[in-house]
Amino acid sequence: MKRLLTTTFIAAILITGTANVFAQSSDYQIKKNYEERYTDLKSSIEEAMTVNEIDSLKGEIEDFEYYNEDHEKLLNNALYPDSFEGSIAELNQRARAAEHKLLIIENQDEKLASLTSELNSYKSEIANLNSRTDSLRNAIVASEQSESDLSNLVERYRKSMEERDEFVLNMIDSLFITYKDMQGQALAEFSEENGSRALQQQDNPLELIQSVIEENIQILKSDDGSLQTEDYLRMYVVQSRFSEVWNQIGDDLTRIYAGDKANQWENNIEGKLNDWRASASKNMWASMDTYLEENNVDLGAFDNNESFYTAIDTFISNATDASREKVVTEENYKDFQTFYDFWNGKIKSDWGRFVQEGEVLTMTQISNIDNEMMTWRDEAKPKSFLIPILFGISLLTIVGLIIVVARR
Amino acid sequence: MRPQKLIPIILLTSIVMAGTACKTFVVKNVNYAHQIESVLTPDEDGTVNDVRHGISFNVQPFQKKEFGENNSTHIKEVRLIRNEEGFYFITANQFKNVYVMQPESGSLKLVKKIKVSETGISEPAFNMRDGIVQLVKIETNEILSLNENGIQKNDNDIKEEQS
Repeated sequence: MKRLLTTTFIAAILITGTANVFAQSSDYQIKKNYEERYTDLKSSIEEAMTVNEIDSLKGEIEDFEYYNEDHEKLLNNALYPDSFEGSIAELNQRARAAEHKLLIIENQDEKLASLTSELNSYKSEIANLNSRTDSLRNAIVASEQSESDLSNLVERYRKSMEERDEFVLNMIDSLFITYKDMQGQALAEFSEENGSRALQQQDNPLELIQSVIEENIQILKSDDGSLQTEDYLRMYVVQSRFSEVWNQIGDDLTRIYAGDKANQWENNIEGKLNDWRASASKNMWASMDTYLEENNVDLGAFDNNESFYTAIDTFISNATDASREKVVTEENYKDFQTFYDFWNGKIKSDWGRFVQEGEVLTMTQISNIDNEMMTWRDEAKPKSFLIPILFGISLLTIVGLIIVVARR
Repeated sequence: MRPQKLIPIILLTSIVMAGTACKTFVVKNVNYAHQIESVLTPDEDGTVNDVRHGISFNVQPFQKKEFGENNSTHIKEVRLIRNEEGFYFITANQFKNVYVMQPESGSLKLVKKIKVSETGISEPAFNMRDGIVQLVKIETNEILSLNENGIQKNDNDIKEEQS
């Protein structure tokens, strides 16, 4: 029975095979089939999402070429001005180009995955720092403790803010380096391929960036005076750096992560960045003004880098002129000394890093002020009258002696 | 005959000979063959346009000839191939005939109507094999070699007839 079945099966195959041998085909149909399969392969190459898919398609192109080799002459005629060989070469070229592109994209995808995990760790660290800062701030506000305990709380709060700001700076620098590496054609292709990429919210760096900005705005707006000028300068620098990095990678980030809503996200974050900048700037300049007032230095009004430089410049010029015109006293020199301490001790030393990084004053402006300070110092320095007096006494003594000697 | 009388005759003969020489300028061994058939879809007016081979004509005369004046059968595709001699072979689905057409100035003139089916071929196709137009009836796997005079007999058939 089994043998009969096998025989029947083989006979069926032979009959089918024979029928195929004698089956007549139309040249036009061969051409049409070729063109249809060619178009299919071309579409599959364009739509391939992985290198594995492309590898498999390369095998299919090989088979396609092999099965059509017998019709090469016919296809050369039918495909004119293209040729069979030319069309296969084009398919292979397309496959190679797609493979190259997908390799880059897969590489970028790996980078994005590692960045996502990095972002998640940033996120939890920032949450910890925020929570610590918030609880310290709340403790300060609600504090009924002694002055020394309160001072201790404020100090801890400031330290916590400093750590948080350092962390945000590191995070934004890391984001910048990672995305800068990905820029260029490959990123554009990646964005095209993943235009509608639906990332989960917790993976989205835009969410993290937005929450960092919002948290900073909130801290600045709910300022209760616990922070000092140095803190506001640091926050101003963090904001400047954040804006700078956003200007360079914001477009790419929104393109990758926001898909169709890229513009909406970009406008939203830029609006918040402006708000942050305004608050950071306002608090920093106000704090600087308060510090100067407390130290009896009246620079006049300033609320930005340019007006701050002009105020210092005018203040020193006026003080120098005053020192030149008035009789030099210890009082004049004390004014100089107070400003000198502010300039050298605070602007150039304690706050130096933030003044430079935040471009509160440029290096050229600092150098100009240094020169003016030297002139002011020369003019303000009290002059000693002891030597002229001694000289006069000596002269009178000599003249007296000469007269005495002459009379004798 | 005086020589003066011969001059007009010589002149006339020269003119006739020159004219004849111009008329007989012929390039021989021209191959008009299409290597592959064209399958053309008529537009709403029934006009087909073979861009590759540079020919355009209306299929309605074929439709009328094949199906009659009042028949409303619609031709979806026309198949066309040209042999080495320059004759066009035209047919379509459900046609019983292949029309052999000779190109003339602004027209195609019927040279031969070759009957290839009693009921109309459902899947016709032309192939060009060794310079000869073949009509393939896909549904029956039948092949007919055609020329402008009609169906060519296969070598095997000729041998059978001779024996």
